[in-house]
Amino acid sequence: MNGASVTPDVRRQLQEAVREIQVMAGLTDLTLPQLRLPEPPQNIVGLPMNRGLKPARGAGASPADVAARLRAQASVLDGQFDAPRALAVGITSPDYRDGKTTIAISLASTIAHDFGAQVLLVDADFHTHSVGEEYGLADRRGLADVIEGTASLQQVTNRFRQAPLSVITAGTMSEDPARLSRSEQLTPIINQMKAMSGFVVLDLPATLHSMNAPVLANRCDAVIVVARAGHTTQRELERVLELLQDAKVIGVVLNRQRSSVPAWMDRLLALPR
Amino acid sequence: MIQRKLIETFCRRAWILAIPVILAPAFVLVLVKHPAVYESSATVWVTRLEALDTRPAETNPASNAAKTQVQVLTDLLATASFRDAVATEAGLVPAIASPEIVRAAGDSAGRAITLAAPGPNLVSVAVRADTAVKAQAIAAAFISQYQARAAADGDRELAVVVDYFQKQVGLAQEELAKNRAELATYLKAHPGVEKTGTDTDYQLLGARVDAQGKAVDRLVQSLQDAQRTAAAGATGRASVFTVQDAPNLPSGSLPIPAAKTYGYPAAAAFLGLAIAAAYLYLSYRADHAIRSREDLLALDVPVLGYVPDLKMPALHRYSPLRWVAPSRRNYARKVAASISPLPSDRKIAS
Repeated sequence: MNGASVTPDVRRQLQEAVREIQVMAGLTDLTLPQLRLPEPPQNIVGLPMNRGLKPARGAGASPADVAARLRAQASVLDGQFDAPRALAVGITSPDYRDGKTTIAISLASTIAHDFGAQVLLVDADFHTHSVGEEYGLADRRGLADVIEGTASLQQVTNRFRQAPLSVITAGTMSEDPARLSRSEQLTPIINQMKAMSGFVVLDLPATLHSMNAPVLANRCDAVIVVARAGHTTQRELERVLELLQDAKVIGVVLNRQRSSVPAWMDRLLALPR
Repeated sequence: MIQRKLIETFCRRAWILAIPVILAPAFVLVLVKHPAVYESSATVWVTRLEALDTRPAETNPASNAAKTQVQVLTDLLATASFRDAVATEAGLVPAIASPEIVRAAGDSAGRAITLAAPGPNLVSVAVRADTAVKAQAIAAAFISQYQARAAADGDRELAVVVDYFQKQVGLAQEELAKNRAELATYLKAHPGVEKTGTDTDYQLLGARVDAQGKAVDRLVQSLQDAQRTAAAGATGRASVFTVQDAPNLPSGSLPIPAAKTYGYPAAAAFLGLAIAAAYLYLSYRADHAIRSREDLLALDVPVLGYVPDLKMPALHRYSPLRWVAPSRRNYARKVAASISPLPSDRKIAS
């Protein structure tokens, strides 16, 4: 990473915020930091709490062991799933630079860091290729190539030794990203991803700027919408929710929130958060 | 409950309060200047000129010599020629000036003069100007011009009166001479009637002569009075309009009223506060962006969490190249990626 160094305080700040998001989304628990696997995704609010799984921390727990244990434990939930037991979470937002890629990366990184679980971070935004650029994998083949059939999923998955996080870039720039999004191959590809990793986090395009976003969102088990504080308007968010009405939107994350109100005034007036 | 968005709008734009607190009063203090004003005053004693007072008798019991004089002076000030004369004598008009300039100066001088009657025989003249010398000059010129006109008017009046009485005396003396001639003719025609004293015609003629003689005496007396008054001249007139306190040279300017000193900036501050409040309210109403949980709950959307605005290290934040340096952009992504960083050797797992 070049340029400005990342201070531990800032990183911790982001991790805590993302952990809270995980709890609210039903991915983890407040009291027992456990990685959860959901019941069949519902169309709306939150994923219901499910029986927890043992944390992946502890001596000798390698990422591969954890992933295997997750899948084994998931098999206990017999009959509760018609779909694969892993979870594909799509992250989208109304506009560019709202922070969806940041949230996607931080969500994937936090789960990988806290639980050592195999997490697959997929760049499904065929317009911007942000995730690949962030990890220095911009020139690698990726999801687009898999959909086109010019590469296999294993070939484009960038896994690293001693790192539970794997990355799939958007791949070769396509002249017709819409066609890629509507490809019938996408659903089985996502199922394959879920078979490879307990969690798949997809960085989707901006909903108001790409009609691919709703199409891709419909293929996810859960969708989180990222709104940028002070920029995203209520009308824009309503429009996004309207476009994603067929997807499983589990909630909204407010990104780049900052308050101009001094703490003393906040306490004095007992303002709602 | 107070809405967070309202307080946020206020705090985000708290700088707008600098307008009523600092800018508006400063603006007023700089632009609204209170020029120095000097006041010169004079006091005049006035009396009614009983003998030759040709003014109609005052029927209003509340009126007195001073009030009458103030009215006369006010009427005089209403005439442009008098004002022009005052301005010229006060030195407000350049040596060669167009009638418009003279008229303007006269109007200015007229506006500067204030008259009052503090007592039944006391008239005060106050003049305000931007310099002390000017104020004194205008006051002195005003009094001087009035006295000159009054003197001219008085002379004219007295001349008319004297002329009148002279003519009347002449006519009366002619009549007296005629009556005497008739009496002498009658006595010549009737010698010895003055001894008998019973002749009615003689008595009648004698009575006419006596009466006419008395009339001539009265007229002569009036003529002498008028001539005496005319001979009195300035001394006589001075007793009518006496300057007790000559126009003074002010030593300092008039104090600025506290209402102007403090009132204007306070009014400006209040107006600025109103403008600022209106702007804040409009900003609040026009802000449809999502800023807090309140806004999301209004949409009936579950809120999963909040990610704060991540701050770069101060040194980098304030770098001159911060707007173009790629390091500032995507800083949050870098933070996110650092949570679970990829190993530096980047050895791909098989």
